[in-house]
Amino acid sequence: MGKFFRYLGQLLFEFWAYLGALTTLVREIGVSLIRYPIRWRLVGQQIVSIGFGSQLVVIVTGAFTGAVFAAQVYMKFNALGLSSSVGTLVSLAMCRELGPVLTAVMLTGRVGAGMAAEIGTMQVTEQVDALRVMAVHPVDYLVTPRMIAMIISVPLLIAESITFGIGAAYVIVVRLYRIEPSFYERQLVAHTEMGDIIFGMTKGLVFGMLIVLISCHQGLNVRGGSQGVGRATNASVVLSSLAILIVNFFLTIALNYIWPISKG
Amino acid sequence: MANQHDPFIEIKDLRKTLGRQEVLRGITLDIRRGERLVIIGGSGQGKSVLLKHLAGLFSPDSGSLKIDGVEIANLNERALAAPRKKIGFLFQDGALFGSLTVWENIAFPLLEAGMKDLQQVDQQVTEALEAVGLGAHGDKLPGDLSGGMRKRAGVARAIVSKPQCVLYDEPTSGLDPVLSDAIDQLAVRIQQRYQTTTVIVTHNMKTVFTVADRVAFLREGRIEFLGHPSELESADNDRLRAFVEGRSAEQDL
Repeated sequence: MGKFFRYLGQLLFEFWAYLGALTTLVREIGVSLIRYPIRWRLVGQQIVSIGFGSQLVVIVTGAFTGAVFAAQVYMKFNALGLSSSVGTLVSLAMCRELGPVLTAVMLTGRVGAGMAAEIGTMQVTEQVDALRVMAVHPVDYLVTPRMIAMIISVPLLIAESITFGIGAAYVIVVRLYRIEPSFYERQLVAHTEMGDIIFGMTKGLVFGMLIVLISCHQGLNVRGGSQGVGRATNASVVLSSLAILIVNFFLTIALNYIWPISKG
Repeated sequence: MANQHDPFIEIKDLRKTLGRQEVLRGITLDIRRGERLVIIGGSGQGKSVLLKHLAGLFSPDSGSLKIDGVEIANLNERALAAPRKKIGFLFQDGALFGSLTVWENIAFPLLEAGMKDLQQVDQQVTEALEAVGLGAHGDKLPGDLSGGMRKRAGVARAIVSKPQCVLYDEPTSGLDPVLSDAIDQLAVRIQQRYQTTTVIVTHNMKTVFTVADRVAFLREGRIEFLGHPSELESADNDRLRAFVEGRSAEQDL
């Protein structure tokens, strides 16, 4: 029993230490943003890599999720005589939940893993130390540009995901299930508010920042050669995905009840 | 500010423990301006850790470390920027940025230091490339260079901003004897040309006799010998003599 509590205590201690390390990184990014010049050329390169390069995966994920969601909802709702509500439901789900969460989870695999691997490789080949010796703070050079690029890219990617999700749902319910198009559109527009879009964007922004923070932290703290890089890449995907799903719950509660953005 | 006669680097009772191992056990050493000091010692004796302390890449657990009269032992990463501008560092494998060309790698410290005049940047990079004999390879990526060329490119990057001190971490490891000699000669030439304080960590005895004004022998985190290379032969230290002669003792196996 004592052993179990010791193990639990150690786990808790490590978790607090990890949160502390992430907080230190946040502070360092803040200092970098406020006091030091931003390397816009690197920000541009990262926008191409994070934003432009992720479009296909985000669009395909958004479109197929919207399509399957619409089909499932239609089949259930039609039996209850509520088929007119499909557009509303698809739109709300895409804006408030599926758009931001799925985009973030896809970015975790595509972008977060890449960040951890790239920075981790730089760490084990002493390139990060080379930056430090040349009086360049690794956070200024490696983390801050990625953070800014993510903040710029994520809302656009979520917008794409939502648009293609709703578009694919339209194709399914209108072409496949023969619902009147104007019916779908009217319901969708009538029940989707600007608040729903801001709700999703806010979530996405938080998720995007979490991905950069967790992945860069893993990369910068790699120890032990190529095996270490593999471990860090793996950990960045697992931790980012978990963080997104857990933070999503608390953020949903917070944005509905504590700082309500829309009537929900 | 320190005057010309003070040592460029002053180390007093420097201690560092990594994991459970006490790597540096009270190092005290002055490195004079413009001298060529070679630090020798077996693998895992703390040479590279000591060298990395000099560039602020490690912070000591206790002791004092002054660079050009400025205490750096407890400075944070951002405050270290100023003393680091006085130092160039050659990493074991060059540590060149893989995504940048050789030219961009060498221009990096100049551009990051805020040099705006691209003509002057080009002039300094070309000069550094020529000093290391890589004048024709500026547009190549580090991945396309041989090990020796990568090291030379690393040297060019370390000296391009004309620092007061250049630190070399195992500059000849993994190179054939001819290339090793070329790197040693390069270190001497650079020191003579720019009057840089030069510290080289190596286990290559040939480097000692080619380069060193003074040599320090590091063993188990302590300096066991400090003197002119010619004094090595007569040193009263069995371990040192075994190291110099490349002899293994029974307990080394």
